Amino acid sequence: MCVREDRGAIVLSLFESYYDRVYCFIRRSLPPEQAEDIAQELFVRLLEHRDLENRTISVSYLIKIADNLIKRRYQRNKRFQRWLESHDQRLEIGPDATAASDTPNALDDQALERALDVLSPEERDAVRLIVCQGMSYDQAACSLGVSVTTINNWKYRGLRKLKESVKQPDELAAGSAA
Amino acid sequence: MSSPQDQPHEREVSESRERVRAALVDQINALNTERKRTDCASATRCTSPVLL
Repeated sequence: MCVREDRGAIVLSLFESYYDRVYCFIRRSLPPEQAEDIAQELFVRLLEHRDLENRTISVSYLIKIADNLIKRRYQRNKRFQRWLESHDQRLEIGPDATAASDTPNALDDQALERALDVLSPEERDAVRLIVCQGMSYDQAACSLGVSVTTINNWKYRGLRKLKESVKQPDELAAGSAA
Repeated sequence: MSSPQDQPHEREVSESRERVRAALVDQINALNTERKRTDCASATRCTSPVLL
C-alpha cells in the first residue's frame, strides 16, 4: 500500500467534506480572493502534514488552522506596513480605503502586491522572505538555494526599488504642480 | 460587490470550491510525480537507458 498516495485521497476527502464550511468561516474576515487563497493554502498544508494518516482531522481543527493563517497574514502585513513607515514612506491607497477599513488586511494585501509588482522575481522573493515573513538571511538564502550575499543584494535592490516606486507618485504630483 | 462580512452566496462558494479542487488535484499529481522521480533516483538499481 502506498501511504503517500493515500495522503492525497485523505486530503481530497477532507476537502469534499469541509471546504464550504472552512471557506465560509474565512469569508467572515476576508474578501473572496483572499479567503480562497487561505483555504487553498490550508489544504495544501494538510498534504504536507507529517502525521496526517494517523490523525483524525475534524472541521474544528481545520478552522483553527484557517484562523492561524488569517492572523499570520495580518501580522505579515502589519510588519510590512511598519517597515514602510520606518522608511517614512506611504503606499498609495485606493479610493475604497474607507470602505475596507474594517477588514483587517484586505487593503494591505492589495497595496503590498501592487508594490511588489515592480520587483524582479528574485528581489520579490528576497523581500517577501526577509521583510514580510521575518526570516533570517541564512534561512532565506537556504530556502532559495543561494548565498547570503546574493540574497542580501536582492533584498537591498528590492527595497531600493520599492522606495523609489512609492516616492514616484509624490514627485510626479510635485512636478506637475510646478 | 461582496464584502468580508457578507455570508457568501452558494454560487461563490461552489465556484471557489471548483477552482481550489482543481489546484489541489494538480498539487497532488505534482507531488506524486516528484515522489516517483525521487524513488527512481534513489533506487539502488535504477538503470539509465543511456547506459544500456
